[in-house]
Amino acid sequence: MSVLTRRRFLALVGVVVLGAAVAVAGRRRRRLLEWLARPPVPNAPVGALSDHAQATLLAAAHALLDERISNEVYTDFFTWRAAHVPGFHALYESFARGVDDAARRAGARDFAGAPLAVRRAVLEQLAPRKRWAHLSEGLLARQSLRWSQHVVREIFRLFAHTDAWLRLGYPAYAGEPAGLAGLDQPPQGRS
Amino acid sequence: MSRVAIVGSGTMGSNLALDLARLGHDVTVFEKGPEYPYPHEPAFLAEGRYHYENPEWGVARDLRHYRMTGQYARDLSEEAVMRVGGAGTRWTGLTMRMRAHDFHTRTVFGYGLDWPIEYAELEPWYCEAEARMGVSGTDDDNPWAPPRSKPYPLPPFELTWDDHLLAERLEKRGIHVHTTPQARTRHAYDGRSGCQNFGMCEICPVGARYSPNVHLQRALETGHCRLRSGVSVRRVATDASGRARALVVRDHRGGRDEEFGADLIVIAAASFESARLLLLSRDARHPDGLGNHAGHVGRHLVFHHIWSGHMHYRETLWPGRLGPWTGQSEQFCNPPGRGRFGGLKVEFPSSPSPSHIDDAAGAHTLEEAMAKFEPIRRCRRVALHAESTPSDGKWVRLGAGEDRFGDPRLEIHYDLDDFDQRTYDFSRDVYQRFAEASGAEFWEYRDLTDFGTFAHFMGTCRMSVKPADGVVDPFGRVHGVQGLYAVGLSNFVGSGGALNPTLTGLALTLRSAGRMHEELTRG
Repeated sequence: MSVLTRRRFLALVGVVVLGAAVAVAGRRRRRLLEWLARPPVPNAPVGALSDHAQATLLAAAHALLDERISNEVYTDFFTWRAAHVPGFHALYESFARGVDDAARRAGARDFAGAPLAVRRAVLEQLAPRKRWAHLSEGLLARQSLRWSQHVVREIFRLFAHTDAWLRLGYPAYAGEPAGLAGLDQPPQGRS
Repeated sequence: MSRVAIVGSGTMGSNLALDLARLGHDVTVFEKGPEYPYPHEPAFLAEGRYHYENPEWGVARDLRHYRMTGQYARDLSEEAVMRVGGAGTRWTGLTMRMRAHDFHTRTVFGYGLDWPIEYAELEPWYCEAEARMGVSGTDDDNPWAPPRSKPYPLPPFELTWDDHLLAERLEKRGIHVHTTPQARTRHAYDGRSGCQNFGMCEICPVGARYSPNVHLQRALETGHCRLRSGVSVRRVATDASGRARALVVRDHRGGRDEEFGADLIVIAAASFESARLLLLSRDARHPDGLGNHAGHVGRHLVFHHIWSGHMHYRETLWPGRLGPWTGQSEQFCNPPGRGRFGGLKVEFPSSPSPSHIDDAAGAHTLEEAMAKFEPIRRCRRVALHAESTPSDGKWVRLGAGEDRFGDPRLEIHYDLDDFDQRTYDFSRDVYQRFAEASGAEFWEYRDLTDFGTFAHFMGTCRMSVKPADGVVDPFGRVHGVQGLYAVGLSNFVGSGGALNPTLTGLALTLRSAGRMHEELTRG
């Protein structure tokens, strides 16, 4: 039996109040919902991602997907974004600290060094949830929702743009020059 | 040396700048948006590889925000691309010619208005526009192609495996699929590299897909052309005789208004901004704006309507291996019954469905992500690209609210009418016919009001022979104002049928360049 904690109660009240506001917000409704469900990353300086944060993010990608992914694609992705997109250096470093803390509470030295089961358990807390849960978290747990939306979800999105194609049998994915030869036939060895 | 001011650096403005600069005129191009690197590799990397839309490559919202009313659900402030190169920096590159009957819908089909020009008159300029953009194509497999006096500059992109499979099935049921002409280099051409199939054609990193920036760069290299980006053109000023004499401009980085005098002013700022500038330029002689003595500026807005859906198959088709589109069908552009409803073109976009990517991104596990992503191999997006016609519920005008400099925002109103409803019904029938003939297991299709436009915005400065019937003459000269032109898709009379409009816009503009030169040299 689940217990309605004070925190959850307040979150639900918040959702109801916001829901009423949203209902009258007309054309701004979509933007408000987006703001709640996908909190923007606060502006902060760009910078070089630390080796530790890089290793932590890659360890997260391995835990969410597996170790057969193209490591350089994920590392390059996070490194570039930290260096070019305002706010993401701070976000990635804070993500590394956050999952490290959680891993330590589970007895590990840090997240990257934790067993797969521990890493998955830590990330499970950040897994995408139903929309109403996002909305309440959007009020009370915005930082972890940011990690969920801008790290965990982006890892899956990056996978869908890259490795997923290769695993389905495509010879290449969009973004790399695939050339024009052989396109009138199925991929080699496929039918 | 005559002084020419061009407002807008998109496909029309950049090509005009090149032609007029090469003819020795002193050209200055004003662009509201910022510089945008060409070739577009930095944007390709940022958006394609790192999923980041750099706000520095766009215009601040307080300078581009439109007030929208009516049924169009998407944000036109976002769809209108403002940067050096304009909408030509981000497009699919499909380049079709209008058909002869598309110029005469009133006479032939009983709806809309006839254009004041003929296909035959524009045909040489279509050839020039195709050469300029480096169009790859063939008419050998397209029985509906209009006559042409020159071959395509480049060979076509052949049908891919998945398009070929569908084409075979459809052919057996009486539907013909053929290759797609496109401004994308099948091999190296005119200093541009050949297509390497990066798979993200809308932001080509190597310039294989045409961007007007290539011609703007060449214009700048002549030494007779300058570019001023990040500048709002607030008014066209006229002299005592009513002749356009200067632009009133404001640099976004600060400062005051300044006047830029010119012997000839050309507005090539796409349908929304071109109409807005004419309306903002009202004065004592033109109290309703320039070219608006008969009230036509902004009144004949029309979009192409793109309804699309996904067809799902049992077997693997392997779509999405090639960025460029290969197959399409023009069989329904001129259907029996046209006039009661509009024609449409059937497109097979080769890009993967964003919904599959989004679904996979929302997964909790690898297995779930793959399960959500796997249908991409067996799914084809099919888009119906439909014509429309102006009506009382489609217009732009100056509305409430102001931009950063205190100028009224543009209000865009767009309601579908009965013609559009009937065209939608027709499109549903065609879509279902495609689905059944191609052996789709199941399919879905968008609702009437859930349509896109591919940023095909037309008609706000309609051409006409008589000043009472439109805004510009058939060469883009603004009626009643000497020394002022407005060119591009804004000149369209209706939507120009169901075919993509950019090539027609460029053909019209190149044709006008000669007339501008004559006017300038005549003095």
